[in-house]
Amino acid sequence: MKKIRQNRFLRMMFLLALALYFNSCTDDLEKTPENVTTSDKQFNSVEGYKQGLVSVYSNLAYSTFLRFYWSMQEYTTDMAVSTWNDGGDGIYHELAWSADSPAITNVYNAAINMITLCNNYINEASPDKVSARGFSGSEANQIEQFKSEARFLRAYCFWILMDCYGNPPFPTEETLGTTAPSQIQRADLFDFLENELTDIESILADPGTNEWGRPDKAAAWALLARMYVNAKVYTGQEHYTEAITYSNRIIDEGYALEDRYEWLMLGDNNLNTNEFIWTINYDNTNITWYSTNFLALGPAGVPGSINGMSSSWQAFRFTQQVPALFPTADTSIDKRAMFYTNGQNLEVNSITTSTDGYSAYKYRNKKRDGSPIEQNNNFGNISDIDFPVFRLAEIYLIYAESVLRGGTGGNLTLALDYVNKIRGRAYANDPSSTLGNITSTQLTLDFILDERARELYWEAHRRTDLIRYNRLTTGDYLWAWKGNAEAGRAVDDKYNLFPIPTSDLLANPNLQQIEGF
Amino acid sequence: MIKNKLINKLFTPNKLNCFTLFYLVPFLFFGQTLTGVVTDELNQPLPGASVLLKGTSIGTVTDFDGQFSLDIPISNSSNIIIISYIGYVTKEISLKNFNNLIVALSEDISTLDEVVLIGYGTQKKKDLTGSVASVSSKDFQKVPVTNVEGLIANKLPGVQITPTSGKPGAGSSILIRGGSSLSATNDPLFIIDGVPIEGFNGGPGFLSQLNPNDIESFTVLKDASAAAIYGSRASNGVVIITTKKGSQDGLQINISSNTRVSTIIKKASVLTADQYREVVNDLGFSRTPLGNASTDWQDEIYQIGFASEHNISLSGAFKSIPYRASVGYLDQNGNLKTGRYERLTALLNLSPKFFDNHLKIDLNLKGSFEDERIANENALWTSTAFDPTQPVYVEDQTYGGYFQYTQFADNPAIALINPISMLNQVNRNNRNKRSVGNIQLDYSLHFLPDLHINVNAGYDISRGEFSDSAQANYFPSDLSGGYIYFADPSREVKNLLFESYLFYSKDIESIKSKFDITAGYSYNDFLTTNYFYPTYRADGVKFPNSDPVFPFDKPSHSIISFYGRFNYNYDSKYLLTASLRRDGSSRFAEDNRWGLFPSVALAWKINEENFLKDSKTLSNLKLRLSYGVTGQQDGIANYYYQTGYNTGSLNNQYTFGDTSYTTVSPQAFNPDLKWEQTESFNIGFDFGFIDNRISGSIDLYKKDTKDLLNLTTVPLGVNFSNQLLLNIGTMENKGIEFNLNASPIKNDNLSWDINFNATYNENKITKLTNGNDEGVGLFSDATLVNTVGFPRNTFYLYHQVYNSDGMPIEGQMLDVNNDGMINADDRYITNKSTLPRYLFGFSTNVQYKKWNFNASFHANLDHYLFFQPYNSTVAITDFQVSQNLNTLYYDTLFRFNDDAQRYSDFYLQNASFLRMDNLSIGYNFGKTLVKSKLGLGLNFSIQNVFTITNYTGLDPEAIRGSENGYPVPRVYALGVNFDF
Repeated sequence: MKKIRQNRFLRMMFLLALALYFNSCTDDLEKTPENVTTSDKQFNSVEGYKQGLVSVYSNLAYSTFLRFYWSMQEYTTDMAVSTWNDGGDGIYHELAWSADSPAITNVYNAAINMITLCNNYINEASPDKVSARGFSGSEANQIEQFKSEARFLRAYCFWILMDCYGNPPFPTEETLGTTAPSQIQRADLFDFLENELTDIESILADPGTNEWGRPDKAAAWALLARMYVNAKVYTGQEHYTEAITYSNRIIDEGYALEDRYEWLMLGDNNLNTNEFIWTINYDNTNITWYSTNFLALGPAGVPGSINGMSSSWQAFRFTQQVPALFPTADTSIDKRAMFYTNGQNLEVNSITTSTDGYSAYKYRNKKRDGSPIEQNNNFGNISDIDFPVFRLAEIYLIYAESVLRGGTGGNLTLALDYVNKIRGRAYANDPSSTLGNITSTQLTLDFILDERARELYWEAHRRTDLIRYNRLTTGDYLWAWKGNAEAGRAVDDKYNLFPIPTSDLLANPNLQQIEGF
Repeated sequence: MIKNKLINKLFTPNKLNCFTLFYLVPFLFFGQTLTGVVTDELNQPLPGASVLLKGTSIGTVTDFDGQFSLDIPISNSSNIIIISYIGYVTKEISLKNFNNLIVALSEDISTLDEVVLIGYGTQKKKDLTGSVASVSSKDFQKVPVTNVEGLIANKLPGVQITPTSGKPGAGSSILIRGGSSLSATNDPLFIIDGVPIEGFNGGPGFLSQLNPNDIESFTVLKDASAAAIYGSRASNGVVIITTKKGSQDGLQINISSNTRVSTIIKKASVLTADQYREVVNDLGFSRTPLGNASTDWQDEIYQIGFASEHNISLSGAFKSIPYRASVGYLDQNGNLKTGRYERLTALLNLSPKFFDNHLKIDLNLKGSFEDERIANENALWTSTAFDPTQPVYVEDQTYGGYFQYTQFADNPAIALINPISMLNQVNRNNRNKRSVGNIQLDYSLHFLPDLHINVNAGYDISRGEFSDSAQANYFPSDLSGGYIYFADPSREVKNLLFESYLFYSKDIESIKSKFDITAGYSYNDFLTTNYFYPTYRADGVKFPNSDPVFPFDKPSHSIISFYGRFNYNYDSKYLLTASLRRDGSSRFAEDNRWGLFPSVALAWKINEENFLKDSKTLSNLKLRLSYGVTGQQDGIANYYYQTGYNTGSLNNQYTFGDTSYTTVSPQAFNPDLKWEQTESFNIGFDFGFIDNRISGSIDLYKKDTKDLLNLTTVPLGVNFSNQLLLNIGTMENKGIEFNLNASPIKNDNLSWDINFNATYNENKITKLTNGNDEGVGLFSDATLVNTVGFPRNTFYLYHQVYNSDGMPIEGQMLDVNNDGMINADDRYITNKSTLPRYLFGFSTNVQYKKWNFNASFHANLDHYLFFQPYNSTVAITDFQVSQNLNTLYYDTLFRFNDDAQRYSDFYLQNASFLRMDNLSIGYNFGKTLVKSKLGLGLNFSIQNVFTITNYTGLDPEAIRGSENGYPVPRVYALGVNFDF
């Protein structure tokens, strides 16, 4: 008995051992993650491609991009001083950053990250892959349009880099996943963007026909117009004629100013389809701290009853130079002068004192009828205000400025007409009103700069505008605490640009620091 | 009956002194029972000693009183018994001359016959070719410790054991020979009773879930030859842990209990309330108004911690099956208020033998239940930053009576939260059940006893439960009405192991040769399931969009291995070991999946040569040479080589038109990821003098790790993250290890043992394949760079400029290249890293009669940390809420928080230190109570006694100098031990 048991046991062990020696268990080494989709699965339908495109665009809302781009464009100027030195942004108003300053890395990283995601999308939507995945005809065309929208977003991000950093790295769909991007010179990037935007123009949807938040032809034209009006800064060459050309294309598509300026930056501003060309979308079921939250909650002093959310973060105020651009610091004459003055001093005696300097209640998370928007999230403090990257009023002002700067293909009469539409709305809630009209002799380049300040304040334009007028770093225009002097002072003109952050400069051997840093 | 009476007599206290005399029991040669007692030189009984009838497999093991009884079969023809015990000289006794036995074994100081575990087998210590360090239970630290690692602290050369945190139940990190990896783990592979354990598996890690009282031995395989049999998993060494086993007969019961009191040694040096007021008055203002209180926030968050631990173990044999079972319970309160850790462990071991000992079965089952209230560690940092002029409590009960910055009630995210409210109003609990078990069968074939088949099947399963909640009146969650997150289960782990090997050994005396061959297969599968749940408001209403997109995730990986080893021993003088292992890991793409890991080692027992054989002074001299390759794939993500898209959460959708879409984002990946491989060379000498009263070893080693895995800052635009796991290049560790054991005094009343070990380790990057080989190199973060020719993670900083009084000038850095600008070109590679170059350990043990004294120290030299606390008044004037400053402020008077300052070498400090880890005193009454049936021992110890260092931060040994970690406390422990 014992012997048999022994043998049986022995045989069993042998079999078990042998089975495991020779069984090809090595298949177990192919493991795939549970909740992660492969690219072939993600992109096996048009809906999948669409989801991919939405996801790329979502980075505009969820990355740090908008909030810090806004900081870069406004804190560096007369438009805003920062109470909190948030992320080291106090350095902006001092005009004293270095490649080590943490604040300058945010936009750089966020923009390149979005470019990278666009490059990936462009690869996934390449004709080879699209046909290999079995798409043809209208489906393939639709994917091609998605791809052109990804190329548009990439162009927009490159424009940001060109405007802020001069000679940024140049990652493309070809360098993705392989090599360190090379560095591109500012003028070369300008050429690239020009080609890219004109190339996708025909594929993009016709103006006003695309879904809210997706770019159309007009968005590409608006970016071109903005590039051309600033072209001299980027390339040394003037391109005012082209700026007029592309402004005209937009204007000719039948866009119109909304009736009331106060409607522009409300929680239901997705109704502003007449004027808005392309927006970054927000709604409060989706939680992000880097949204227009900052624009509604940040202005010092503004109570929850006005901004539609909660009391102010006391984060930023104007220097006294900005209210001075308006006839009065209230809406009695110019309805854009939505200054919040309660408890605020006009003059900025101290940058970090939140009551020094007026603020504004331009951004409010409310509806047009003044009713609040119900919060559908656990923070109770999230904004629904869409951010218009391009809107018609800017295009009118680009047109007028380009005409004044000698561009052809437009005329002063139309320029004056467009500016007076903006002023009609500003003074009478009616673009056709003549109440705010100026005369053609009043229509000067200086007037345009000031009008841009009045119309487009806190919409992330000011730094670019002041550079175009050569007033950001020079003594031609001083504001409180410019260059960290109470009365303001001129600074080195290297501060017209931000340096390449040390972190990427050290990581990417192809990069050279820009002049002066 | 007669026998029992005699035993009683012998064990009565008055007879103990004459216990050296023989104790005789009538013995009949045929078919009789042999009984006796085995003792040591001091006449203490030796439990667990082996008694074997020579030339047979008939044997037994002594019980706890050193007694044994052995049935001698009638058929037996042998008349010699062999009595052996690890660490003692084996005795052979002829039964013709001695009918009744009392055998006193003398301690073998050399302990060279000690058998050590080497992975898939055992080897005699004297026949080792690799660098193996081993500590068994008799050498463990003689103090109550919470964790298994604590048993061997300072006992092993080249092994750094650092407590990771002072959190109740927290473990230590173990680093062998400086670690060979950057981003991959530097943890060694842990094998517990034959089951490889993946480190952190719910709760504070598996070693924490083991009860130190259950541990029998620790073996550390340090060089590649020793470790290469574990191939891919052995680059950082292998730690083999065995638990105690049952003995052959006689029920033994051990009960031990201890109480520990722990206190915080050092608080962060921040301004007192009065100093703070003075600084604020000098500045003219503070961002948030000063209060009237004087609160030491650190005093408020800390408490004296109490812990008690009780263990009971039983061992014996049930119907000839040896067993050991133990239960342990630990209840520990943390030094950070509200933290508490309870652990219940149970262990069962059965080790029967069948078929005339041809089949050995080893069954191990371990279970643990942990219940932990996790104190909110954000309170640690906050307590150093909170305004000391504010009170802890206020009259107003809106927020539960705690002082809060109510001016930020609309947006508490920007306020600083009262650290006491963080502790009291947030409740986090973790409960974890875990079981690890295996059955190992070793069968030596009846027709070919030299051939063994060994099969080992094991599992490691656990189930965790997690809850986190805050009261509705907790200030930061007041707006949202508090929150409740409850996860049951939060996580389930199922790791499976199957291994099988053949072992053949042969002794061919005609050619003075012994050899053995091992060949095997191993399969390991690791599967974790993480579960996700929505979050609720404190009143039970679900938060909108908090439903998880996926209810669970199942990260998993597996490793398949084939291995073989050949040992050859010629004339007991020349030894050869060669091994080969091939590993496949699911963490690499098919082309890079398999790695081959060979090793070879030679040893020469010089003292066995004729010219030394008779030396009285030299008792041992062995030369060891080894070379081997090991691999690494632990500590990296499971699917990193694959591209894929992650889905965003429901409250992170984006809207096009009227439709919101969940988002998908491509994850960072590296398709070329491959095995990190470490090539090691080791030359070692083992030596022993004067009967090994002085013994030790010297090892010289060099480890080249190529295809080093490192999380590297990559150029933006290349991948989907700016930090990517890459095989970046080659790193070298070379060093020398010295270990010395001495017993200066050894007599009946007094023995004194000393252990000293020293390691010099030099680490340097030798090649970078990804990125810039010649320039600065690759960054791990903003201040740490990997540069060819310098240690890994070397600090890369500016030279601080000082004024004539020696004060640093804020923001003034040396313009090294004189170009008028301060930028990255002015930084320099400091050649200083967080990695210590010199490690020392020292421990000593004095045994005087029944007293035992023990002390241990360790020191790290040439070890640097970057210590930059708040030391500029920006913290008071520019943040939303004024924050306290470190007293370093008085040395800098900084005001602006300058950008360049964060890269200044002013903050780089030499963090070398000497620490006294342990001081203990014990008294062993012996078996003197209750008619000599009950033994009693008492001990008292202090852990973390003192630290000598110039480092001004909290703890020079904290992981990368973290100031915000849970400080490791000083512990006073009183223990009592009963034996039946």
